[in-house]
Amino acid sequence: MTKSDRRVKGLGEVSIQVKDLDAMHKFYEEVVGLEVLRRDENFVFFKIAEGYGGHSQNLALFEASNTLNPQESTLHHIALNVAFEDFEAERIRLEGLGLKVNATVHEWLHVRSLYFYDPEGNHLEFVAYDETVQ
Amino acid sequence: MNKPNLSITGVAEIALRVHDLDLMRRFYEQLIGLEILREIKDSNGTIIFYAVGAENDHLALFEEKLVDWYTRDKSPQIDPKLTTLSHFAIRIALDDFESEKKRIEQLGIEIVHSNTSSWLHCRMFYFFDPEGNLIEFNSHDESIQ
Repeated sequence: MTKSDRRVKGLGEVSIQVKDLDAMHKFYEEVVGLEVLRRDENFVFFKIAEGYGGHSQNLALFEASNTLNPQESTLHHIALNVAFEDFEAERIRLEGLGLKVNATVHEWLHVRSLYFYDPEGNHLEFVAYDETVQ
Repeated sequence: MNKPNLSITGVAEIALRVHDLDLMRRFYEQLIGLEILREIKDSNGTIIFYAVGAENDHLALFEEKLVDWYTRDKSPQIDPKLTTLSHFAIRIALDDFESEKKRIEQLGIEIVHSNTSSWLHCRMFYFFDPEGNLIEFNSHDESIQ
């Protein structure tokens, strides 16, 4: 199967449930740095990037019950691509905001990654392609 | 609004924690039709990475018993009722929308919801994977305004 034949064209959206919509909105807008597409009483949609076929890739936050438990979540983590030339600056920026950032490399993917947590315990990854990682 | 972080260029990966890897991989390989990029197996458990779309986005399945530094604060027992994952969307071509919906229904999977979004200009339908994660199939449709 060639890449362009894949019936599944891409990841369109990731939506997570949150306990404190205002706090989580602030984190994803100000710390992660995503652009707000739409904010409503119970949800907020962020645009991450242009996606397949004219649509955007989005992250959405939905306000839900406060019985959510990141320890028992089926969500392992969400990775966002960042440009390689911005990787170090992003690491410094995140650490400067007081976040604990775990940096590593994944040789088989030829990438560098930064792992950190959002305020409700979801695991986020910023990942940059780096062909020198072998 | 804050200035967006222009270093972010896309969603690279969504990783799910799974309880029954064999059951879940059959679903994602045979029903969703994803192509395996890599399978990593060690004494603790297995991770499967699937390639999605022309940009090689990933959907990944992590066995729940994998508790290493990636997952150091996660309990080894997932509960879909307590998940922070609401759902994730997989993009399909508009031309395939109706045929995919029919194909999934014919496999005996219940389509739990279908709708359109005038402000996102798309149509979508939703169904659950075997462990209770909600999947959205989504097509961009400019005619929806």
